[in-house]
Amino acid sequence: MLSPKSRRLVLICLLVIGMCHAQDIKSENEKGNAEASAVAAPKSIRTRTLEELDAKNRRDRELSDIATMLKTIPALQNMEQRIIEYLRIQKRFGKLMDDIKDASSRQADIAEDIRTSLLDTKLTPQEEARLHECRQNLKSFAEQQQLMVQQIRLASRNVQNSIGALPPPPSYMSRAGIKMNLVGTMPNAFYVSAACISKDLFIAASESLKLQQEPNLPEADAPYAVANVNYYQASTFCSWLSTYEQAVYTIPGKKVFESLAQFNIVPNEAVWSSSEWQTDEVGQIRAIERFGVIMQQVWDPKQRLSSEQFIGELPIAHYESLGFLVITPAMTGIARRWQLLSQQVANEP
Amino acid sequence: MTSKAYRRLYPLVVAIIALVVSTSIADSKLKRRGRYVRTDVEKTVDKDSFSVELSCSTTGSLPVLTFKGQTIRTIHEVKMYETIIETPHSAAEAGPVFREKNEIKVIPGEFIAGEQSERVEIIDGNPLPNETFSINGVFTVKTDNEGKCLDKKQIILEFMDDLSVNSCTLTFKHDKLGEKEFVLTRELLKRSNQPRTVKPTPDTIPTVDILEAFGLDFTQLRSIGREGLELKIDLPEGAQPNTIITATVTATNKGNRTIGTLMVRTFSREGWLDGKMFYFGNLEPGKTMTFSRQFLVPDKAAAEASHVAFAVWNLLGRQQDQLQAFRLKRR
Repeated sequence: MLSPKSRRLVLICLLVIGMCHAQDIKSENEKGNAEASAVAAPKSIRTRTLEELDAKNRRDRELSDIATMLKTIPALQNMEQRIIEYLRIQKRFGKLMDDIKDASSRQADIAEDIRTSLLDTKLTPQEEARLHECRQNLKSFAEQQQLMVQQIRLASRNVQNSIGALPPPPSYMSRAGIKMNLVGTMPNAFYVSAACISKDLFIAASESLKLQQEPNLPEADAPYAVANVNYYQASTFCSWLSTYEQAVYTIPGKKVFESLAQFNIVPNEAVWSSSEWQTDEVGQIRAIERFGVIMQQVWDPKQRLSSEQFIGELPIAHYESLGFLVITPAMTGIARRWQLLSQQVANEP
Repeated sequence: MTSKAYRRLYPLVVAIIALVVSTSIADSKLKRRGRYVRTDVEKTVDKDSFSVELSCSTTGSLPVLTFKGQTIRTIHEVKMYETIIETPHSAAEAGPVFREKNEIKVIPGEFIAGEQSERVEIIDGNPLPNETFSINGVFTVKTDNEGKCLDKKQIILEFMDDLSVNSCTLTFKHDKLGEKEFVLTRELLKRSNQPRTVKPTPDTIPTVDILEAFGLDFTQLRSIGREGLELKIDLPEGAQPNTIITATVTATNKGNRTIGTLMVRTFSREGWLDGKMFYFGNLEPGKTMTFSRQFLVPDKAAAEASHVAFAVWNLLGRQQDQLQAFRLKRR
């Protein structure tokens, strides 16, 4: 049997041994964790890096596909179809750019994890080497992505230029439902309304102005009647139309009428002109100047009001056979086509 | 008679001839024209003519032409002078010594005719009732029982509607009484109150200022305004072809300064509505004036309606805020 003193010594030794063992277990656990994390972090980082490589390869294939597609578009005869394809390509460019942006974000996260992992002193040399390899890959990805962004930007600009180089459409339907026909060739082309502004549309515009609300546009198949309005009312309509269409619409002047006549575009009714009436009679010129009266020019090619083609009329006058056309620059048609096709492509899945 | 008798008579005949010749030479050499005595009328020629006066009706701004008979009397006159004779002074005569060699004596009862001249007198006569006259060979007017003709169509005003025309000559013609010229003027910016109308004389064409005839004052004033002008225009709603419509412009000065040289003019695409002048002149504060014009709607007027604007001008310039525009429908 052990003496109490011996028993105390044995207990103390056992206690020390126990404490040492516990320390060993703890350090082994810690080492195990470190090893586990060192093995798990490089593994997840590596996987993520591999995934980034796959994503990059997908983007490379997409860009190559787009480049191939771009070469086929100029062969399309239909201008609208060309624009649609260009717009689809722009959409794909947009997606690519978004992908690159997301990839850059992910890669930044991976790079941060690599940096954190490399701070661990218990990493094995193998693990450390893998981490460095991942970091190098990420760096390479970043450079290639930057290059791809530049390529996409350049290609997008070229697509934009290609769209811009396309001729304006021969006609278009405005937002207010006015059919506009192209007259002349660029850069002097412009659009003119196919017919005089209708009475129903004029009334709708007036109501819209008065009530400050969206116009109740007439149906496309509504019976047509020329707006029986004076010059001031016609000008107010053009102001409203310009605001509504977000483009400039005006009443044509004498030079435009001369162009229309050259192209054999002749309205059935007499139409208001934005030009002031000029006469050769000296007495009349002096009287107009003295009394400050403005006579507005009217183009009456079918001689509905008078025996002459160009006449002067008081701006307050209105007749059933006197209407007005509207004109707008060629860019309006181009912009309108762009707007409609962009919407169509944007709505595609 | 024998030759001997001829030879005796021959000196006597020569002496007689010499005496006659010398006497006549002496006479012509001595008789002269003296002082002027009188003017004799050789003959008088009367020619019937007429005169025209322009005035304004009491209502409606209508010109009134008054035709009166007139006699153009041409008086052929000659000036008569004393006959004087010069005789040499005799040496035996007593009295003062004259330097002149000859003495001048008036032959009583004997006169010498001098220069001939014509003088024209205009003698106004009575009004010419129920007579027809043409104006410029285009328009025909007929006088009433008082010799007056109311220019209902305002033809006279139409002659001056062109503001670039300040005067025009009207030729009135009658079948029997001949032609008469008449200068019509329009002095818009008179610098003084002196009348422009010139009374007719034999040597001048009568001149009438249309604004004076209408009793309007277009004298330029130094202190004028334009505020307070109120313009009312009476015009029928419709205009049927081949009818006459009347536009009446009433101008009222509700300001406190005279509106100077006020005029209104019509402007229209259609010739029958365009260019008619309405004259007011100087419009004093508180005063109202009216002027009317006739418009003959033509047979082939515009299909559905006609538009006309009335524009205002005064000495300070155009007054665009006073412009009024109208639409005349076809009934």
